[in-house]
Amino acid sequence: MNSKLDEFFKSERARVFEPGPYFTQRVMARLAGQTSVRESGIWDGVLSGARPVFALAMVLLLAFMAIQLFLPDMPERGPIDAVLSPDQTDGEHLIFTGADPSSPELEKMIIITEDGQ
Amino acid sequence: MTFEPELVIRAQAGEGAAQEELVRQFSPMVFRLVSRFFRHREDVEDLAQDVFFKVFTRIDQVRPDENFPGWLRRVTINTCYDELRRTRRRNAAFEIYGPHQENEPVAAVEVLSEPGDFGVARVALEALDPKLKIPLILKEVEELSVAEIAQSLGITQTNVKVRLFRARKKLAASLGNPPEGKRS
Repeated sequence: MNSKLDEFFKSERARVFEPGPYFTQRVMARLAGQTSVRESGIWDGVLSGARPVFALAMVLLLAFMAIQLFLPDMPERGPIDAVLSPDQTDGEHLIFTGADPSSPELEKMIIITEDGQ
Repeated sequence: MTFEPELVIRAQAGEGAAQEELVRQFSPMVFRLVSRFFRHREDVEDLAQDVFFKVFTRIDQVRPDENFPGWLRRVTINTCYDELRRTRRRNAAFEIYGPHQENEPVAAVEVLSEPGDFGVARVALEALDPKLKIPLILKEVEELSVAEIAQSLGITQTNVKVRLFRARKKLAASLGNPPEGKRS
């Protein structure tokens, strides 16, 4: 290799930093700080053998919650289906046709049905 | 100063005094190794701290019959390698749009020929991929054998020789010099 490059490598050998007088203390302080943070973590409370199972359970739980949050509840039967369907209940018929209930009992039943939904 | 393997066993048991003694004994070695790859004292100190932090969080992995200084050297080199890769990614934009050393071989030779000025060689070395740079520095600066480099990097000796050859070739090309034969 180029002799200048050899000289460069030789000069690099001489370029060495020495640890400062408080390096050991700094390392020990950092180690102590990190250890106390790690000890308080929830993950440390789980046995190492159970961690994969715990992680899988957490993933499944989060996935289920995400599905519940982001997917809207689909009604069993929408308003168009209800209007077009031949087996409309009295309540559905009144709601979609806009007619007045024929009796107070029917009105009460409609209110109860709607509240129940 | 002689190394007592019992220190490692005591450190594994969580004895603070043993851990402190290990840091005291091996910090010059770690500093020396990290200095090979980084030029600023602050970087060297930060990385040396990272090395010891890794050492004590993984000290359970050290087997009783294992060569602790060799293991520590591997951890140090791997830490440097990770940091060099991170730095390289950070500087990717600069490397793309910045000055290109390969296009300036004449200038490189001129600067290199100046006595005591190794700026261009340093820049060329810095520009090397960490995969090539680390074996080259370990061989040329740290003066480790191919077998020791292979052990430290966890690769085969043939792989080390190939990397050394490519590193020298790239370096020579960057400096505008024809590459010489493989030396291992």
